[in-house]
Amino acid sequence: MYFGYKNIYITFGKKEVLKDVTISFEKNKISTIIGQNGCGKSSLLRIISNAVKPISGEIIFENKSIKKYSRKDIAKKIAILPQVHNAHSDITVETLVSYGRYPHKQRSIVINKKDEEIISQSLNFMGLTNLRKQSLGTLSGGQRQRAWIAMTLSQQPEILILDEPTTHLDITYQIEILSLIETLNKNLGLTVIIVLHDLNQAARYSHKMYVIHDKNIFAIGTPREILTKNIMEEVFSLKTSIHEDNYAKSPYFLAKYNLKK
Amino acid sequence: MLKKILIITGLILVGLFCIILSISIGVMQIPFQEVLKVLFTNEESIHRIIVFDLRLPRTLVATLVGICLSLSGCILQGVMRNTLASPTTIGVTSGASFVGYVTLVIFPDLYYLLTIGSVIGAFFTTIIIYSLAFSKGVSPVRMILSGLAVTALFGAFNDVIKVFFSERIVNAQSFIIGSLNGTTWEQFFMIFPFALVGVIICCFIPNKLNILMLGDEIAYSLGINVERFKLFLIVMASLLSGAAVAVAGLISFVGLIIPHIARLLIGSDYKYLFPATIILSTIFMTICDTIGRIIIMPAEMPVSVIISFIGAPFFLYLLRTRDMTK
Repeated sequence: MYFGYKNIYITFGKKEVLKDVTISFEKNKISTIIGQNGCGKSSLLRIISNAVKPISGEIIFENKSIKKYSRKDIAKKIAILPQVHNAHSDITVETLVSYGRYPHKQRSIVINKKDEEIISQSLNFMGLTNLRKQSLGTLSGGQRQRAWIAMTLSQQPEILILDEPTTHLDITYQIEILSLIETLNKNLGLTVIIVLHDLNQAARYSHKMYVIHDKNIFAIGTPREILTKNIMEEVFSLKTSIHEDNYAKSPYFLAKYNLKK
Repeated sequence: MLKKILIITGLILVGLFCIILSISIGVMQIPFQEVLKVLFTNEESIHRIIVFDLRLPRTLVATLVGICLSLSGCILQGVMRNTLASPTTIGVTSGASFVGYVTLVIFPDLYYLLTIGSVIGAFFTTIIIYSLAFSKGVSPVRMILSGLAVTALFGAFNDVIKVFFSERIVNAQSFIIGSLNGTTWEQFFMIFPFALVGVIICCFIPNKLNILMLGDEIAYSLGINVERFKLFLIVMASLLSGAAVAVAGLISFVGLIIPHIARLLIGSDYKYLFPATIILSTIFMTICDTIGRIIIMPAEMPVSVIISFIGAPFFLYLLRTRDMTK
């Protein structure tokens, strides 16, 4: 297994959230995890950042439990951007992005030429070169989110994990962020794993979709295999019509009505 | 960046000036040049005795107490990710003074154990408060309230001790009143190791603390062992505030307002925040102590009183202006 979960079991108090979940993500692909609110999709990601502690099970990276690696070694391979993150508004974009170099540094905290180059590259990828000296407080929501993603890029990870990166953003910026993520996958070969709320966006931007329902993986497949009337009905209780987006060559759905009584 | 370095340089100059000022002012005025002459030459004089036996140890202890308390506050604000945290507002200093009292009662003749007792008290109070209330983040209101409760509880214990064991604690007047009256080199050597270690460690952790400020999850995913680092910081903050309490007793507000003013002046980056905090606390403490010494000359006002007169209104101002919903 390249990267994934093995027999994950999560409870919140007495409530079972996920039961014996095993997932394997594909290398160099964009994978999205979808499901209803509270189904445990974010919890799955938050195990990786230690914010959720599973009762049992492990995270696997290159066939070994990530516990077998040191924290910094994992941080060089896997970057995570959680849903909630905050920074003092007076820190500059450049400084934030420079923190991504932390796992690559030994005791020294001095940013050298090589780090400087990587930071500039990350800023460039995210279209932030002109804003690098500005403080986070002066940026728009979309720009700020790009700055955070730039920070994860300067970690130079193989895998980028994002928990609802588009929440609270205007639609313009949602598409901007998702397109940027798509470019990162294409140009840098990053393996991307995203939790997304918007199913149509998930279908458009991902290679593989993972549906979580009823405490476990309900279905795995390409957007065309997942965005079907049956799954929409069973998982999301929606009567839908499925259409084809001719521009992006991906399926999308329109909701007709809610099935819940 | 240049601006920040300039601010720090300016502060250093002011700090040095304040130290010399506080040495020069007192019951017997010693002119500025005289102070410099005494400090940097070996000439015997009456001034020399006053400076080296009375004024210098006192000024240095005032400075170190301020540095310990405000660095402790600075670190706690980082750990709890809340700028209203400080050794006093969350009740750490009261825990330190309680265990300090207990040590005095049990070992009335072993004055030096006071430091160890206070440090242990500070440590356990911090751990208890952190694990009860703050590990998952908490609103400032709740934090202040629980700090209030903890302070009241330990204060009551302290009063009980004062009533029942008054003869045993007479050795430690400055500890009880919160003053620097009668400070000698002995106190200096009690607090100096803690302050020194604290300052040295603060040179190595700014980047890590900055990253911690981004949130536990981000810090973890950047490769920091968050739980271990936080424990380390808590231990360090308790050592610093415990040592200060042992030497100068309960001094409120320094640990809160100095890091705050430093933040206003220089921003939230710990690389600049630590040095700014250290120098600002030097300035603040030397001024407050000097005022305390001269305001009702020849008697003395305890430094904690002066600080509270300045600190309490500032604290109220912060409570009013800060967004309390966060």
